[in-house]
Amino acid sequence: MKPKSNETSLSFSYTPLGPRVMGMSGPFMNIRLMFRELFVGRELIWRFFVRDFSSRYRQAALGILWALLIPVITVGIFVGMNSAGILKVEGIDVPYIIYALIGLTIFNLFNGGILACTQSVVTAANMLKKINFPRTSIVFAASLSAIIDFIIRSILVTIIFCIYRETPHPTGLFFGLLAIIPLFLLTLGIGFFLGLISGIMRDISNLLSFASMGFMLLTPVLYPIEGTSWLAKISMINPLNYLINLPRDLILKGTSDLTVGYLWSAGLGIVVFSLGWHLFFIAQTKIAERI
Amino acid sequence: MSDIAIRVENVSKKFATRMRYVMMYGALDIAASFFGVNLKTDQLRKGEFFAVNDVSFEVKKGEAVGLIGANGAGKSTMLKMLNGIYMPDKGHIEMHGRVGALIEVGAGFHPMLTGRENIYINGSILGLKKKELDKKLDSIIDFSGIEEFIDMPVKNYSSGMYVRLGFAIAAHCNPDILIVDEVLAVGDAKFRRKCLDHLLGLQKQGTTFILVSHNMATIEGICTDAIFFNKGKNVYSGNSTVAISYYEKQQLLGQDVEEQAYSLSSNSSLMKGSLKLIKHLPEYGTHDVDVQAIYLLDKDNTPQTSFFSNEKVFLKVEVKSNVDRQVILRVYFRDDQGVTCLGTHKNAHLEKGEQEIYLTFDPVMLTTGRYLLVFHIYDETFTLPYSNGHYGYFEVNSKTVIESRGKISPYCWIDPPLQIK
Repeated sequence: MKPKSNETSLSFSYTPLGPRVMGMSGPFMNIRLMFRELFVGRELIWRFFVRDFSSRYRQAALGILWALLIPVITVGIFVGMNSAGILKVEGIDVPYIIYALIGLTIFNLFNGGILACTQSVVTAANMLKKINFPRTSIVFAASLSAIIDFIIRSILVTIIFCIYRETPHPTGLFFGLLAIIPLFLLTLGIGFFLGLISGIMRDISNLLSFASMGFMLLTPVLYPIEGTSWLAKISMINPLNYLINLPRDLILKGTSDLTVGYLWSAGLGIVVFSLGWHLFFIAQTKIAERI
Repeated sequence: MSDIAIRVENVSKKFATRMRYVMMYGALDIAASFFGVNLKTDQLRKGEFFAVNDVSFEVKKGEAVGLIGANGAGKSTMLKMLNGIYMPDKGHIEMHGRVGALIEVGAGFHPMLTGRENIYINGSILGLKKKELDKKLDSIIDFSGIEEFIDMPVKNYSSGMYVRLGFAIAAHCNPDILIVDEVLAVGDAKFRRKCLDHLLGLQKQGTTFILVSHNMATIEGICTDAIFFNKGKNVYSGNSTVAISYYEKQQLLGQDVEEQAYSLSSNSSLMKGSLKLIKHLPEYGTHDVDVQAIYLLDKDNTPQTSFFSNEKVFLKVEVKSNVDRQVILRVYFRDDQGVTCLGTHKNAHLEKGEQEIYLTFDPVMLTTGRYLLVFHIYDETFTLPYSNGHYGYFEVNSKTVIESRGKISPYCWIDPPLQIK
């Protein structure tokens, strides 16, 4: 007989309510199954990520340089505008370019992450229909690519810091980076939701480009919002405002007066992430037949 | 531990026909499952139909079961449910053991990446760990036989190379239950043979098989049992030969097949010494010509069931026709895998009454193995036979003929002489 691995002793049963591991029962079964899938799929997540990353720039003369080039150009435009004196924003202690780039980098983690997660499901349609694998892996892998993007942009921001001879707040930098995690969870949660829905209705991907523009305008990413305008009122209840600006404040100054709003927003991020992941997990077998 | 590998109980699966229903019901179902509402999934809603309807069967460990039926009969849907890609809408499925599936080889390939990179990705998708893949990499590349192109992006692969690589990866998953959907139909003859050998090897090791194919020879060769699907229902499950005759009858006659007894006789009205009638389709053809006996004779005109490859063999058929008619004789030899090895068509004229047909195969040219003789007498338009039947078995030994495994000899007897007495 051939050698058998431990996993072979598993028996599955497929029911209208979803797959079940036989012999597994008790409370929180779905949650245990979710973590089991994440654990079993960890290598696959990494593979998908490597696949997407290395194939994205494969048939391009500049190859992997594109991963750097696009952020460099974005930054370049800002540097140009800054030196031309177009950008004059009041009420900021650091050079505006640094303020703007940190904001953009964090915002892009959200924006790019949602886009990547949403598209990942539709892109993998053929695979979803033909192979049984931990499907949450494709969304997790897509979110990793947003992190890589974030890291590349952060390196450029560091360079800009050096050029302008500014330094971030030392402890604030550490806590500021940690404070980005809830934003990432929110991104992943929304990504799960939208990925699932776009699997059934393609409207989502069309909507998304408008939505990102809207978020950009409604969230004070490139300029601080003060006063009592309607935009300021929206910012008061906009979780993105807190999730982006608190980390930025911490990195630049080491303190922030957005703490209360931030904590609420962080809680929201965790809730959205849990719900999104859970929904995707439950509904994953229903996408395959409809995508 | 029970010896059941797969248990399917009253399983149904429905699909919506229109896109708007797909979207509407999709959103509804997902919302319902999220809020823990159990919708009645066993009722058809507007615009839905059952692709698989109330199907039950069991497969024991180590068995090989074929799913056959016309296009759209529900075979592939069944396979996808067995693989856990779709959940049943009614009933439930139990799978005991690690499941491997070849629903569509190369489904997870990324066109921009090289063959080597895709081995790792596809292997991971199929559940192999990196360590396992590192160990098996050489063996996978070797099996695929496309070593020189392994670092080329797969988008430049020919479809054959694509399939070779896909199959090679899947072949290295060592599942307990293997689900195969019509993948053997692609690739060249040599590679098909290799795949078939691999599957047979797995079967010997005790792997359970579920096989979908339109190639009855494959089903007959690998499967002991088969399930005949028609319009989402399993009409017959059991002996694969019987299941195949259901399918053949449906295909040949274009009839809806309901419960129907099939003659699968070993005792027929054939004369003593004749090859036994293994199977025939009583409802196919007119049966105006009666085959009374069928013999394979050696050079001394003695009926035999064992020959050498280089031996001269005479086929003698005693027939009785009710009128004078022009006919086409169709004779071919099938090996025990169900593969048609050699065969011929001959025009002939039959007279009213009894007569003997002689065909000479000089030499018989078959390689070592056990064979069936398939003998049909068709009308001159080659549409409906006057008589049909599979007769056998007989053996052939190669003796001094050099043969290579998996290859049919390039030489075939051309136009074997026919005599009617």
